[in-house]
This record gives sequence, C-alpha cells and structure tokens, in this order.
Amino acid sequence: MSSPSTRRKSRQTGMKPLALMLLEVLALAIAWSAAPAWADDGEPAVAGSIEVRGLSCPFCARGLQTKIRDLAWVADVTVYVDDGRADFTVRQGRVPEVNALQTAVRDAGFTPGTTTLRARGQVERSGSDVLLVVGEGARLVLAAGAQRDRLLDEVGSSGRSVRVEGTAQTRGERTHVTVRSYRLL
Amino acid sequence: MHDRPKDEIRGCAMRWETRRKVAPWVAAVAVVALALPGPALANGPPIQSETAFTTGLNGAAVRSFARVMRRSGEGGEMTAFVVPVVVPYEAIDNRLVLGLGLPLLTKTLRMSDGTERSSGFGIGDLMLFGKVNLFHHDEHQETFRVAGKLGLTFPTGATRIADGTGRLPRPLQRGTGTVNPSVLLVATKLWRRFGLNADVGYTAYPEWGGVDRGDVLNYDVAASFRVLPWVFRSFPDHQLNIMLELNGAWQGSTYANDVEDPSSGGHILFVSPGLQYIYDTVLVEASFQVPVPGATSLAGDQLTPDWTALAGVRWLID
Repeated sequence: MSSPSTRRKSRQTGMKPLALMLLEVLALAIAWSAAPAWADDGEPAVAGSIEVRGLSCPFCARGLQTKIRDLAWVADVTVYVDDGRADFTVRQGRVPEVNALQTAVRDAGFTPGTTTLRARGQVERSGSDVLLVVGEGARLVLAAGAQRDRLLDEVGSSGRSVRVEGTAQTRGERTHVTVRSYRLL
Repeated sequence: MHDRPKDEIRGCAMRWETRRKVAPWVAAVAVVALALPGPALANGPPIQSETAFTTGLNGAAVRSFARVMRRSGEGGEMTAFVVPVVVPYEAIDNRLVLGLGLPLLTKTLRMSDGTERSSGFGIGDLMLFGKVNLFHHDEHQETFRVAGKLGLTFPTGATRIADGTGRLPRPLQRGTGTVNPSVLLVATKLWRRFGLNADVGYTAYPEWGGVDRGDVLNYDVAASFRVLPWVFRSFPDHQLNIMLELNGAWQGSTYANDVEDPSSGGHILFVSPGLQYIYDTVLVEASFQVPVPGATSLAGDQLTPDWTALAGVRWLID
C-alpha cells in the first residue's frame, strides 16, 4: 500500500510531459551521434576471415575452430568447410593478431592464407601513421595505398566514422590493414 | 586403425601333438591376437586403413568398436569378437601423435565334431604407437599428406589359458607372447568431397618358444566420398561418408624349431565397403569385409576368411 503522498508523487512523475519526452529523445540522439563508431550498434567493431587451405576434412574443422577460439582476442569463430575459410569476430577493445591467427591455423593442421578484416572506427592521424580507432585503446594501422589516400581525402580532418575492409598483417605489435574498400558512416 | 588382414593370416606353428590337425585352425585364429586396430586417429576416414592426418585431435580422442571375424574350413569354424579401445594424443601440434590401444577379446574355435574351445573374454596385447607427419601440402579444398608410424605390441594378453582339455593352442590365447615392432608409411589425398588413402606396412614377429612366425607385409587402399552434406557450409554439420577399401597382406611361413609349417603364410585381400556418420565431435562407423575372390592364397589347409563386421565410434575430447 502506498501513501497518498507517494501516489501524488507518482502522478507527478509517472506521466511524462511531452517536453520531457522530447528532451530525452534529443539527449539520446546527441549521445548516439557523439558515440564512437565502434559502439554505434550491436555488431562487433572488428570482424574478419582467414583463408584456410587444405580444409577438406570436416572432422578436422573441430580442431581449427577450437584453436582459433582459444585466441584471447577472438569473440567467436565459424568454420566454412567448403569455402575454405574461418570467419571470426573480435572482442570489444581488442585488435586481431594476424600472426597468432596464422599459427593457430598451422597448429590445427592447415595452411593459412590471406586474412581479411572488416573494421568500423574513426580515422586518426598519429605522426606519419594513419590509424583506425576501433575501440578504447584499440587501433589498427591503415597501410599506405591508393584507397587509403582516397579515404583520407574524403575524411579530411572531420574525424568521421568509417567502415573499412582490407587485407591484414601484423608487424611487430601492430596490425596493418591495406584498405581495399571503405564506406563513410 | 587397421583391420589388419596381416593379422588375419598370421601363421602359427604347433608344438603340441595334435599340431597337424589343428594347424589350419590355429593359423587362422592367430590373427585375432592383434586385432588391435592400428593407430588410426579420430580425425576421420578411413575405417579399415590408416590415415596420414596427425591433427584434429585437440589433445585427446577415443576410438572403440566391436569387430566380429569369421573363418571356416572343412574342420569347422572360428569366431573372434574384439573390442579395442584406442586413445591417440596429439603430442606436438600437427606433427606427432602418440597413443595406446588395448583390446578386449574372445576367440572361439568350433571343430566339425562339435568340440568347442574358447579363450574367454579378457584383455589382449597392449599396443603403443607414434605417428609423425613427414610431408604436408595444402591447396584450396584439397590436401596431400604423408606420415610414418612406428608401433610396438606388448604381450599383456594371457598366454596360459586352459580349459577342460588342457592348455589352449597358442593362437587361441588372448596374447601373443612376443613384442612385435611395426613400421608403416601412409599417404592421404583429400580433395573436395573425395578422399584417397594408401599405406604399406611391415610387422616383425620375433621367435618365441621355438616358433618363428612369418613377418607381415600389409597394404591398404581406401577411397571415400562425402554423400552429405552436398555443400558443407559451416561446421558442424551432419556428414555421411561412404567408402570402399582394399586391405591386403602377405605373410611369410611359420617355422617351428626350424621346420616350416606348410599350413602357414600366404596372401589375403579383402574388399571393405563402409559407412561413416559424423557430427561435431562424434563419429559413428560401420564396415563389412569379405575376401576378394581369386585374390586370396593361403598356404596349406588353413581356415579361409568368410567375413568381418565392424561397428564403432570415435569421440574427440575437447
């Protein structure tokens, strides 16, 4: 049982004035527009696939799946046997380590091929590097190339969010993506 | 894992007084002692032959099956029932698999006069093996691999089993009494929905108790085809394989105290159709073997093989 004063308070706050609702919608819109690109929907900011040569033994795909899933930065993995590839998603705030991924494929008994990444983030310059910020402290290096230069021309200094796709390599501790295509968000 | 025809024709010399009468039976039965399958791994086909794969085990796996073997001749028939348990372990990723296998088995010899002698059910000889990847080449949707395998069988099975009429003939014992080294070379080619395996192996049987059994040269060829799924999209999926194998072996004669047993040794060749169902970590399989007409040539009056039936399961342990 609620007291009369409680009911009164409830009536006051229970029915939102139209202005308040509009304010909330506006606040959400502002928050959404200010959110980093990697957090703008439920999809992972970084996903990819690796070509797996020799994947003719479906029973062996189990080992491949397990070894890739064991990588700390992997959120999920699916092995496509007849396509000869494994698709993976990357944990929030992490970047894929291509060398480790290739080692996992080799350890599973297969030969790794090209690794392709699809990443969503914001372009950032750091000295001579062009980075794609895909999460808090998670950055991919966009390797020099014609597509990257076109992307930079379009983005300028606006800090716009983009979605890029390209081949990936890990050099040292950084993962480089050679941009094949991109889309401004 | 081999359903070794070599085992099927393992000869044996007799030292007991009924040797001449029993020799053909014994020569046929001897085999069962090593019905222990070879080191085929839980990473897929074939059923009766070897695979060059040394991967996919994720640390450990288990394979077991039930096998019934039947031989017959003028004097009666022999039935063997074997249930081996094999545990391979991927010691080095994609390089080396170590494993062991232990069979539970019983052998029964029923003579034409109605006399029956049986070993009873118990463990057979323990086998340890190692298989190493020697060559590995991958392309899109295909692979070619070569592996070498070394095996050692230890005499853990009983060799002194007796019934009401005395000690059983040695080939009816569950153990062989000897340490038997073996070597095998195997190649596997898989492409799209097809598979081809070929292997050749040699097993040495040292002299024991004055009996020197002939060594065995065995060979297998296995072809497989993935019937389902028509397109294998993402793993796991329900998979059905059919296969056809040829399993052959040649064995030298047996010598007892330097005297050759005329009813020992020879060549045998089986044709083995089989089915395999796989889903995720479980594989269920069945195979049936019959001798190829005209291709089997056993010396003397040994029992001739009628058929072998096998049904089993393999399970990957994560």
